[in-house]
Amino acid sequence: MNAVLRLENLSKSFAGTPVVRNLHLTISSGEFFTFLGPSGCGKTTTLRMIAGFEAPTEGRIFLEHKDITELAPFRRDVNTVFQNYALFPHMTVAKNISFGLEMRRVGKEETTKRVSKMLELFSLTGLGSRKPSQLSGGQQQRVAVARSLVLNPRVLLLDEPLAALDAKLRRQIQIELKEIQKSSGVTFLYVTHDQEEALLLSDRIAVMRDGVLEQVGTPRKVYEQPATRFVAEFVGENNLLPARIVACQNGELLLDVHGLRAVCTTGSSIPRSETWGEAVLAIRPESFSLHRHSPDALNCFAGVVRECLYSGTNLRVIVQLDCGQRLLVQVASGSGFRTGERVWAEWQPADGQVVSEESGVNTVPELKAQESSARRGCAG
Amino acid sequence: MNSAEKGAGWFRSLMIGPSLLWLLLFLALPLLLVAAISFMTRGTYGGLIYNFSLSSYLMLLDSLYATIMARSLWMATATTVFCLAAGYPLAAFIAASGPNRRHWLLMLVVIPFCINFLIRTYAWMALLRSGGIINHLLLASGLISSPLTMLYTPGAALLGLVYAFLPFAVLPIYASLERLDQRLVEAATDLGARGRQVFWRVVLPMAAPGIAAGALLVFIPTLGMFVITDLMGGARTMLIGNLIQNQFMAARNWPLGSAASMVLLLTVLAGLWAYRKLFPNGGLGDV
Repeated sequence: MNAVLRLENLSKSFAGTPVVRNLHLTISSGEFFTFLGPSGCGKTTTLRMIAGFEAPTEGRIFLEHKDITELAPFRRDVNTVFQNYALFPHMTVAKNISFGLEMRRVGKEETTKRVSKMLELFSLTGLGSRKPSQLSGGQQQRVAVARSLVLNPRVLLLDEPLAALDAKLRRQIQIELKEIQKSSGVTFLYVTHDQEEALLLSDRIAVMRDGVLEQVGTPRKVYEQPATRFVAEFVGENNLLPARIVACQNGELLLDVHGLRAVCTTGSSIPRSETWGEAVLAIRPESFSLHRHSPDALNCFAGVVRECLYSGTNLRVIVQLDCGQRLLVQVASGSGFRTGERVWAEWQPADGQVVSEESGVNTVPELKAQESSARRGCAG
Repeated sequence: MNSAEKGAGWFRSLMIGPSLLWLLLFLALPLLLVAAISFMTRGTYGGLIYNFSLSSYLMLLDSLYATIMARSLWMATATTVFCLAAGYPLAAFIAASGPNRRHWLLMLVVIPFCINFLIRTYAWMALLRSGGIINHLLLASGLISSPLTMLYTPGAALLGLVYAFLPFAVLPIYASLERLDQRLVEAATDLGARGRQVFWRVVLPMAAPGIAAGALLVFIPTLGMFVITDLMGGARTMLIGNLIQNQFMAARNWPLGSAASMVLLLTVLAGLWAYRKLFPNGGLGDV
């Protein structure tokens, strides 16, 4: 698999305020790659720089080894699906889809063929002569993707394409998008603030904050081994506990959490010894098992149930530990815990993650190359 | 119908009633009068003979009057074209400016409305006439040896009309361009369109209702305008507006003036009908 898009030291400032900072990233051909982050983290700006709507303040963009940093948007072999679709309201659906082909002076016969193929692929057959305003939100969204995909771009850029749809429709179109991405083999570069969507769709995720990459990795890696406190908090739910590293031996870390002893496996990253003093221990709500009697376990926090929230398949229990720290614990809804009960929350050493407060990903480009090759190793 | 609805109906009549009465008394009735008079004939001393005759309309077919009609149409068309040609770039420039500057520019466009248009017309006359400011400056600089004849020409009339009606073209075009979603322009560029293609394929079609509205707002009043052409165009530039004014005031041929008014009214209505056909949900809303 070869690199299709490469960002080299990419930075952007608006009126002196940095929005994207020293981005290094390589995206492989055929990959579903997602920029994930809260609003204002620079993910859309990054996408707009790749599309050519914003000029980078610094850095280069390479598309298949060709430097496209200075190229006008209409000369770039990438296409964008806009957040509000930006369909041409005065043109029919078919005209919208054929617009790019006409601009490229593709022959009439070929155009008709490719447009009807797109209409079929996106289940829009029979709607070609309608105006965008006569379509539902989901159909408009499909036209927007079809309009860009019909040009066979090297990379398709999608800027929060599902943000305007309701939850149920969003889930349905997520699956459609993933299927179309797989079958077409086109590289998708996706921007979203929805961590669930990112986990569901992506081959790899780049978590962004304040214009900096916090972590780049597979959904599993980002979820299970968050590199920073921010990633641990932003992707999924997490309990973050202040911890002090006491010792590190045989791949295990000995921690002091509010005076309680805890052990967790180090995983891939061993924290630098200078951060040993103040560390953060992240444990997912579903990693706990709750007991009514003290279990004879390695890691166990005692506390009192403060609240029980029923959410269908699960029961979300808020446990206040004896030290005052609150934990969110997720157990099966049939387990029947009640407010005021004394409980013990047990967790496995492999489920605890020690995360650092800050990121160091952006400055080490080699690291991501290793990571992506490791990912390919896993996939193969 | 329950009592609440009845009450609302009564209230509605009370609110709409006065304006309805106003329109009936001062629009519908005079219009009917004009229509009726157009079918009468002129008495010897300028009075009316109450009979039915098409003579006034037939008289309008006379080459003298037909020429005036054609000239009016041409003048209104030329004014519209110039107003659009000058108004579109101006509107586009204002729409592309930052929000702060935009307000100032819009105010500059509207400011002339604060001054009576007769005074503005006289100002133009002061600029253009033989002993006026422009001739004075040109003579003093030695570029010309004798004053240029600028005032009382068709050109001066056209200039006066374009000047007076330019804001009517700028404002609706500005409104349509300001509403234009910039992302549509980006989408077109993204799909491979260059500047000119973006303009012809996306921007212009989207601005078309505003342009048509501007054209109507210029064309309709220009067609009936007589003050500016009278003051700046001189005797040779008689338009239908001047003709009507003349027939009522100087010539005292009310039937002919009424007939010319009816023709003017029908022309304008035809224009409005065409606009509604072309832009069912266009920028002028309820015109």
